[in-house]
Amino acid sequence: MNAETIHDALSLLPSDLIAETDAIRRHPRPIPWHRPAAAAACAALLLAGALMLPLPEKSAKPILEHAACDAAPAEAPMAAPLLDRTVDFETAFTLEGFTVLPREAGTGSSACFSKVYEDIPALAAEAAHIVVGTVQDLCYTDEDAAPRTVSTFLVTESLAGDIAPNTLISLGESGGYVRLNTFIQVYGDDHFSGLTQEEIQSTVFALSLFGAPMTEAGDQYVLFLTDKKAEGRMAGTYGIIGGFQGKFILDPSTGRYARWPADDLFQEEEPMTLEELKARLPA
Amino acid sequence: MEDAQIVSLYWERQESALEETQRKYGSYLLKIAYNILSSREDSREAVNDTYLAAWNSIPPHRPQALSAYLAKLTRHIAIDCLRYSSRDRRAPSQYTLSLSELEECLSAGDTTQEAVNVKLLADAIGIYLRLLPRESRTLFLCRYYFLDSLNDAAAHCGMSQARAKTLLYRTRQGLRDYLVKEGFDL
Repeated sequence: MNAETIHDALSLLPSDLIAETDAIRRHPRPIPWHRPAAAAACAALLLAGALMLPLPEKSAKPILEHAACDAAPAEAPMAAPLLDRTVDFETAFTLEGFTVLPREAGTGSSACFSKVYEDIPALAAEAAHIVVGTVQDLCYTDEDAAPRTVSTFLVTESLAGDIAPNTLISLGESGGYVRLNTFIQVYGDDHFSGLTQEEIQSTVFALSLFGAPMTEAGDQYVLFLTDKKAEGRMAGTYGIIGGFQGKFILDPSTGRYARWPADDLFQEEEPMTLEELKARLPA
Repeated sequence: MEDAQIVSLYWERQESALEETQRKYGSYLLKIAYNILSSREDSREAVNDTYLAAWNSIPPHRPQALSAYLAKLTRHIAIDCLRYSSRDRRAPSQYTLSLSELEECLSAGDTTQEAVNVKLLADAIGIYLRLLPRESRTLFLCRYYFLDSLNDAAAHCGMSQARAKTLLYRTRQGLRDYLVKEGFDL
């Protein structure tokens, strides 16, 4: 074997791998909020815990108002021209320039789901689209201090529905980062009376349901998506069925997908390969 | 024009498919060919051959990612073109540079020329790449599939050249270890 043999083998790589890189290479411009998002930690900071935490060293950087979150979805790579939904936030932001409160254990953050999806057939029964792909970039917003994450998701394979491979879609999820100034506007500054205005303006904290991992650029998922139209600041995005219930996360070290095992919400499943997951989908 | 429309033109055997392809992807394909051949004249020829190959292969193919499909054709044609030319006449290109880097995936000093099942090798490399973080995978493919220069590959991935160099080195070492583990005789 020689190096040219490896080049010959590279010529036979699956199309989805090439399409993924091709889309990134053809992106018309770099996205300024790509890198900071990768710094987000995975464990969840719980609200009550966050309120009790001292601030770390203050950051002098100003808050990013009107960040460029609307830029990427509106200017999709040419390789993925079928972007059919756009997001236009008034106050989207990234983590750049913010102090992110460290994640510590606290009391719980939870929600009452209107329906629990016990298994893949239950999810598939209500999914308008089932797709495989990778998170490209993301940004955050909040509605009445409830965090929301919007990401650009590159679909590399469609298992159901009519979203074609190599399409970029906008994905809206509950959970993300809340700006402290927004939180104070809604809930008051009882817990933060000692902070300077600059600290308040430049601080965010993380919040996710049941401590689910935060979405990060580069994450690979199998998603069960609803076609119901989102409202509020996530209008125009695709939503995941049952929150994180319809989101299977790839563990790159094992090559297997699994849902976030929220306590007692549904029976924990063994991580599975993509082929095993496909086999569980109804015919 | 969107890719799906261009592909439809191919299927309808309308020659405007070639014009639309050239308009949308001409410079993109030229860059890929030039990375391999390092000759503008040869690169233009390779791209023209790509249009012909696309015309002859669509149908029966109906590529969902046309740019990736065309890139694959151009890469294949340009590498073939390079191999047919005398090795002595090869101009230094990103392809020739990449060969010395990819030698690191092979055992040092081993000149074994045993036949290798390229398809099996491709499957193994594909699995290895899927296990990598997206950043590493993208960087590797930019450098060794699309034959981008180190500078361009780093820029595509939003990182410094130094970091890209380190990451590529680790990825090559990881690939070598993975292939050994999978039983390939390197």
